[in-house]
Amino acid sequence: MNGLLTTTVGSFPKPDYLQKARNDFYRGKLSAEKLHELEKQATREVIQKQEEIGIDIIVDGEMYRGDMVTYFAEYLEGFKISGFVRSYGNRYYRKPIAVGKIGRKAPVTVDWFRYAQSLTKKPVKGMLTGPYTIMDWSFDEYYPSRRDFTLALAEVVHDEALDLQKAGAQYIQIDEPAISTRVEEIDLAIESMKIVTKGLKVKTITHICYGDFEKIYPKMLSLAVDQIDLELANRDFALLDLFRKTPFTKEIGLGVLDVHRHDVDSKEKVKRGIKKALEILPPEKIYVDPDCGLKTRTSEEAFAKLRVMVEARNEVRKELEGDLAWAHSKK
Amino acid sequence: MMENKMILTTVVGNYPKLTEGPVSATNVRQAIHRRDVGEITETELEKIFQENTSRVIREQESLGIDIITDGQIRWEDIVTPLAAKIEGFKINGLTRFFNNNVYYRRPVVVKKLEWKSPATVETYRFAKSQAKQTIKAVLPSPFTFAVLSEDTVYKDEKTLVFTLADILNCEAKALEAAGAPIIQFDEPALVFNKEKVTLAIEGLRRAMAGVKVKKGIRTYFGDLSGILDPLLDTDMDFIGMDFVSTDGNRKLLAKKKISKGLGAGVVDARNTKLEDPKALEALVRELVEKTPQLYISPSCGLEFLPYASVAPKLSRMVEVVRRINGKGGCS
Repeated sequence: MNGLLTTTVGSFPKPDYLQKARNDFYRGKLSAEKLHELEKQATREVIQKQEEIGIDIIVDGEMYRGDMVTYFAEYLEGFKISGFVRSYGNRYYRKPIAVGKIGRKAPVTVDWFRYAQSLTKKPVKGMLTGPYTIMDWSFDEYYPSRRDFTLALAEVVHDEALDLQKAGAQYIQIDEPAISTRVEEIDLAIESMKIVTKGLKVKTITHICYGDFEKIYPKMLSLAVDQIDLELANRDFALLDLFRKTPFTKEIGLGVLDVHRHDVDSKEKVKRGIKKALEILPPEKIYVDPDCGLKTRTSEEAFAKLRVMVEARNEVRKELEGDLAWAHSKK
Repeated sequence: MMENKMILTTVVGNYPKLTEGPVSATNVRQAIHRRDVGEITETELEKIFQENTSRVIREQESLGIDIITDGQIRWEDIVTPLAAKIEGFKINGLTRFFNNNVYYRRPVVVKKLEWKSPATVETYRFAKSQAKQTIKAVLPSPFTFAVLSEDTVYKDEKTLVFTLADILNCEAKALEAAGAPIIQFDEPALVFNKEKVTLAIEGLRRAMAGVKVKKGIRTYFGDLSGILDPLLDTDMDFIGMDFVSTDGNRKLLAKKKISKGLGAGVVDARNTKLEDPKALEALVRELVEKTPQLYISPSCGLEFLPYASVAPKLSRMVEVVRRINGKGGCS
């Protein structure tokens, strides 16, 4: 049967040797070439692993990205990178600062996309961070307003998406986790997504993290994408009830694994989530995936979780096929 | 020392813990990490906390800040240091800190809460011994503390707020006894929950009950439109307002004076862009007419900024205030 395709949200945990190599690189103890080689090795491994587990739509795992916003800023014109700011507790990161007009010298992710796609026959998703999130997670010393800054970024992300499409990507995901943080700016997020996906013919997806969905639903359905990917497992799929009242008019990326928990989710829970989604959407409009990126888990945890996800999907499919066969036999 | 100046300068609370450059021997981040992996002892870490507390006190003083803080060098976030000392809390997973891309650990009430001993007094005493300037003590307000917590015991918001208020009252009195001349309660949750202003005020009344030194609240991340009047109708000595995140507070005071001290956040503590001195001066001149005592400060804690941005911003703020104080003839 078609439908209930499995995928992931984007990031995978970096293997220990790559973590160490990244640290050595920042301390000047490892060359950029050597680091790049190891990033490629880790990319090969993570793609192989996804194939082995049976994931339908592959990601490159983002082995070469530190952070989903700073990574892009490092490659774009008009940004510099700040000193350390605190993320939480004893965790710090460097944050982009817009200091001039934002522009793109060359494609940022296309080489990695091509490399990843060369390793598998399955489709590889192009993975981008959306303009609203880049804006919200950066400092701005150049643009007069949040809107001006976001719209400038939207043009750049649009160019990158066009290049990914040209390189053969069948799926392009534009992550906007910041959308749910400031519900009063949903119109800006919608306006900028229109620019990003304008003229794209491939399937477009956006991932939004958990927030005040009650306040942005059904308005978020105006985001110019084919699919909205949501965290559902960490609130036990309660969000789906909201979609019962006002129909969910897009495809859904159905988060079925709680990525913030170490323990492996139960197959029953995953099946329950998929079945609950099937009550409101047909299988071909449901893409089964984890709640969020997997980079905060260990490799063992991440792969064990994904195995459960694929098994659960397979069992639900079998049950559906059984139902179909039964329905046909009655005709 | 400070009474003959019309406008005083202050900071809201925290100060960047990490400097940039070769100061690794006293780097708080590395030290905490080394304590976590057992390379240094708790006592050695304490020494580094003290060194850094002294450092941020010296920095604030040399930049010309009149009323300083200890920089909250030990604070993981606004609630953890207190929650860890209060019996009945369990510190849980990461949660977004209001509308910032910053996270804190959510305390969970797992049994009835009880104040056992002061959490902040020892640090306050040390900071006071290092400071030439007035040093204020900062606590979360009971309402904000409750909003940031998860309650599995009282199951009633009012009971939780009042319980926390009584606990914070013990802490405030202990700080008063240790010589704190000013106690500030941080109330960021209020601007996102305006409908609960009565509950927040009732909590503050209990938290401030019997405290004889100067006391007040600090709101930030939004404005007080619609809820300023009930806040003025309390016996707190000052109210802190954010004039950066929105223009709501400026509009609110356009046709109004207040009878309390005004803590005015006029320097953007969430963006690296350096303030235009003329615009800053115009704003401060406008605000000085509105209150019997103006305290000029950044819009919120300084930890949202990289270290390198802090000194230029505070210097600019002090320079503007000195210019107005010098010419104002208010002494």
